[in-house]
Amino acid sequence: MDRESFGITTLIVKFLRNQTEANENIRLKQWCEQHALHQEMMESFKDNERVENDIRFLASIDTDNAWLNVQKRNQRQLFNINIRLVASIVLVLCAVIFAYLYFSPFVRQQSDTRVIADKTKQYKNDVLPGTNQAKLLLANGDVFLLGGEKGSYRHADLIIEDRDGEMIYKPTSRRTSPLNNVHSLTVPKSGTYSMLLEDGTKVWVNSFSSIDFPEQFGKNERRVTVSGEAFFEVAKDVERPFKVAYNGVVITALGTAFNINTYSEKLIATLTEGAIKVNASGIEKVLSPGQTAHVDREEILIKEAGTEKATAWKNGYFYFDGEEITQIMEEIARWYDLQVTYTPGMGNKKYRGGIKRSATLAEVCEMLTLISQMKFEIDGRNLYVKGTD
Amino acid sequence: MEAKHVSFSAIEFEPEQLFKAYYAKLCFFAFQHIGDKQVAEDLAQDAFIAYLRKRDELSRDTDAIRSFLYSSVKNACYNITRRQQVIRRYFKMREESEIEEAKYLTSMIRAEVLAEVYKIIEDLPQGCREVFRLGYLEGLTNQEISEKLGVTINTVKTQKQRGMKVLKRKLNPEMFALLLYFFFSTR
Repeated sequence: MDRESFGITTLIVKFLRNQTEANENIRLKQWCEQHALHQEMMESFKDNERVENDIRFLASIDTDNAWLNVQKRNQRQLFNINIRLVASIVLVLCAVIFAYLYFSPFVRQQSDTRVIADKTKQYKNDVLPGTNQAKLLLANGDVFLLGGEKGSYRHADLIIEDRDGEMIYKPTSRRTSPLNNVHSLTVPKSGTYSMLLEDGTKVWVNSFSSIDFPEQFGKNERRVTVSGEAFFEVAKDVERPFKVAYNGVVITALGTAFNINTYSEKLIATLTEGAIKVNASGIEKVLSPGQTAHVDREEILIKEAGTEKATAWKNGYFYFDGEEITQIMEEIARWYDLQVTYTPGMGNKKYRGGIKRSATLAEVCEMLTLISQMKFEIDGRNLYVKGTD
Repeated sequence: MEAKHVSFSAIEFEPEQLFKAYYAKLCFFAFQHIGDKQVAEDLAQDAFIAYLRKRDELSRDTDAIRSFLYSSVKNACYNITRRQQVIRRYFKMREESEIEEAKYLTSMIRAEVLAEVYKIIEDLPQGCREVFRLGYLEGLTNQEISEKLGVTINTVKTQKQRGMKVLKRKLNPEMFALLLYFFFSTR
């Protein structure tokens, strides 16, 4: 049974729901004409008695009991966590409150051009996904808005190149600069940006996040501060370890790739390639690829986990790895810049899957409705999620 | 909705949800070929257990999982029916004629479609759903339904009409006709 067969099945179900388009109807018709059996089958649905009996059969199946039986028979663990060593590390730093305070100065534009009409007409309106946008605040107080057009800025001893969602930071002369000369790249909600630092390290910064970096890296180390979520591909420099700090936690890396997420109360660092050291409250732990460190209060928990979630966002898609709707919606809310309200009855079912970040909100809601049977309502930048209870 | 933005196939259910979504369909699918309900249920459960064991190796693609489940059940059915064949030398295990393949395909489609219909009925508003179930599943007359639910016959009729309106809105008119008959029949 190949893909084609399933394609036809999906088509027929769509036809049943009266959701097929003209070209799909043609395809269906062609399929029917292909084989006598096909046509016969479509006709058989008009045989009411037979349909009645069949539905009765379906209704008579005790699925719950069968599930218990399957669980009994399947001795081994039903849920195998797959340990895939993928080449990226994800560090997650949590600072919702911190970031919130940090970002409150952001003022939304007068007319919200990202809220558009919903083409599918299922919702009051649709919301366009995030874009490449960021603000670079230099130590001397100058501000650059990134993401609009390509540009090259020459500023004192600095060249800043901005193109297609990536900013390249190039100091032009080497001089001793005071330690407190720090620049800051901030990305608002519904934004994302990447940056190439002076040492060749590349950083991707997610929505509602920021990174502080010095005018120049020091002689003995390269140190930055992060809040929100950022992915690092650190350029190798044996003499100067690369350090990422957040709220007292320090991650040290030599030449390596990792993601940091600080959106919730925990700092989560995921290592995809190389090696990193996590330092918190005097405890130090080393990670190997495929491992995740969860830093919570004064504990560092190492877990083996898939790294797909950590790298997905920078590669242009969301990836949910067995998450409840409320968790999923947190990420969606950040990318589409929404206020989410829940009615009681969310349940605690978990979902796994992916969505391209280029989808519009209506597309995301439609897909989530399909898998979770929850209902979504969009009103401007407000999203209402109604449970199934 | 443009397929290029959203990857439906990457959405995966947790095993329990997957089981609940597919089990009845798979049983029905098997039943069409081997005619024994108990055996059909066993085969569907076997297929699911096989899936659980192979879960990490298989793609997370819902289509791939569905393909695996149906194929497992189909092969199991095939083994059973083949064993019943007397003249073995004309049939090798797993060698299927075109008609055989088409039969499996149509029975799969039938399973998916009817499960869909059943689901649409199950999704009806509370009042209608009860009336519908008693009507077509248990074959009660309007009189019997009204007695069982403690409502007037008029209410029963109204609920049926309500339900029909919902179905009519959701279903393709051509398919709708098939349901029209047995829901409105005055048994």
